[in-house]
Amino acid sequence: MRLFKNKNHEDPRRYVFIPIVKPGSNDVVESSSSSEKLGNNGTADNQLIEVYSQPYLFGDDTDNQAINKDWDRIAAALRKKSRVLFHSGSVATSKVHKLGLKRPRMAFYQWLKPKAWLEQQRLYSDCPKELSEGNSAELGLALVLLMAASGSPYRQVIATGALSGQIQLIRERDVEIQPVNNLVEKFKLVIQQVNNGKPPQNKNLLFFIPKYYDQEKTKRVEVESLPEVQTLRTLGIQVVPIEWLSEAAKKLKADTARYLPQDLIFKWLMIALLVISLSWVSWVGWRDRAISMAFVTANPETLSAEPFLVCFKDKEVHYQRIVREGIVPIVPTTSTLGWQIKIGEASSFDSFLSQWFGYQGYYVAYLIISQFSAPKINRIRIYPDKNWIWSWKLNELEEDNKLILLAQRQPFNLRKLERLVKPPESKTAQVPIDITKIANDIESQFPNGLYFTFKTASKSQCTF
Amino acid sequence: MRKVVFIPVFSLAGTPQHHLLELIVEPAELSFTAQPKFHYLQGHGLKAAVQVAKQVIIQLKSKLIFWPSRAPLLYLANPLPGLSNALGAALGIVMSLLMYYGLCRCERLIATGRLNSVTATVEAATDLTAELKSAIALGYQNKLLRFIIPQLVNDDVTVVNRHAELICHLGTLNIRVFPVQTLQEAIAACSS
Repeated sequence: MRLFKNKNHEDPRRYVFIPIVKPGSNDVVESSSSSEKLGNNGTADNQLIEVYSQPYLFGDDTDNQAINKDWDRIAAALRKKSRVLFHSGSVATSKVHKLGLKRPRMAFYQWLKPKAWLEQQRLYSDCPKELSEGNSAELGLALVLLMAASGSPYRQVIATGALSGQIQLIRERDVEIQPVNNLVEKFKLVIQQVNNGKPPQNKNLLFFIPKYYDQEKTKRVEVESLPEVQTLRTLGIQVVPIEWLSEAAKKLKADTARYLPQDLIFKWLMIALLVISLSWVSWVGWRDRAISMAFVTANPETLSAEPFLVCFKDKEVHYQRIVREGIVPIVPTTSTLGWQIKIGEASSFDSFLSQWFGYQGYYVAYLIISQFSAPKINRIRIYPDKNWIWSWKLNELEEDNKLILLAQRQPFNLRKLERLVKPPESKTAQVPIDITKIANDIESQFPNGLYFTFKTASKSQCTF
Repeated sequence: MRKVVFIPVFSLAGTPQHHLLELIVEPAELSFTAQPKFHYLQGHGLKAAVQVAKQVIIQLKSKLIFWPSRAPLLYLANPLPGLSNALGAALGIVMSLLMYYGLCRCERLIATGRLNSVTATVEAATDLTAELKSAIALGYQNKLLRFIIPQLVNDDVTVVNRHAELICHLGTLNIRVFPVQTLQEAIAACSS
């Protein structure tokens, strides 16, 4: 589950040790007798310099200086120590750019800024003085950039090699590693330094070198043939001859850029956005979900499951069945129409909402539309698990009517309901309203409602 | 989406040397303006050429039909230490951006020449012998490689007359030379 696993808590700094040998130096070990006064356990020009790469630190003014003076920003800090090293750093940056790293999954910031993995790196060195070396530091500087930018499990390596400036027509995105001078002396320097405890020994210490070296400037031979390579291996150093920069990147497991802190921030922002969006969609879906509605009988012995008459005599009330002519229910004028409805189904989810979010049940509305009388609208609220028992006193006109009962999880918009039941503009007092059309319009918007058609007439009465 | 322009340059620092710069342009960050990112060309002796290229691109911007939302990022794959004031790289920088914006329909080309930022005319920075020889050093190309070069070496001598042999040699290497006098001709040449 890579989504929540990131390597940003590790130390982002990576180190490379680069053997630097004075041109023409023949025997490093012999010259090391003067090491005490020269420091760094080597001669003035023969030394194992340490370079590290780490993300840009806020407050480092080197960037401003680099911009003002038209320097490469990634390698600019090296210029304070050595101009030669700065040039090598600049070349290494270009080559790493060319090689490139894959973007990690879910790295949204790097999707926006594809080169952020490299742009944030800065090269630093503790080398004590100006170097006389040419371009053999280029490979080491490229590797330390790749290691730091990818979060490679290898924290430190040794490397010497030059990066080819030739245009590659076959491996267009790769960089060829060129042989360097004084390779044997560099091996001897590393052997000496390792024996002295620098760099710190660990079983994974890799030493990257060019695959070939120029013997007496005429003959190119494989480095593996040198006895010093075997000596280094006996000291626990893994010597890795390479021909292309991509080979080193593969060995260092540096083919994918590391997660940047900005990626983490973007990732959590995206997750939060996703959760909010899903919650909203779920809420809207749940809110608009149809609510089941069904007439229930107020008295199972005498009534069926449909509206009924509410009859009053003195202080007594009783419910009476509505008589029918054919299939049309006939309700006496001036009587009271009653109904009892079961709304929704009690669910654990509703109970959960009620308990944690104060969910108060359903909103219900009833509408009575008549041919001549003005429409009537009323809205109330019903708690979950309660039946909706209600009655309404009818007017005195004989006409066709429709009782429409609606329920939903959000309050009804009164204006919207009024608009729905509003008679057409052309309607006059003598012309009846087409209540079927109005009811159909309402049903198209509230398909789950209950619709009851009845006729008011003076011939039907409450009986006691 | 990577586009490559090879730019022949000459450095006087240390031992004088000819070099074929490999200028790469790639998509960078998403932005509303999509202004080209030149900062990786800093410190490689292209400051003057970049200035000219910026001025030319500003003039071209209003003529572009499609302006992508990802800014182009330019960098050198093989910088030449010690290079300074390489004005002859201006045409190459502009061509790389035009390739990125889709005005030139090729993936790779060679370009050399100064650009006049006002008239957008292409001028030779040298007598072009070294530039043509640098291109020859690339060897045979499997795919046609266009070489955009100024038409006039001197006021009255064209590059075709002056370097007929070298241009013929380049033809055998599948590198076709396109002498141009203006940026418009260069755009037409790289899309031909």
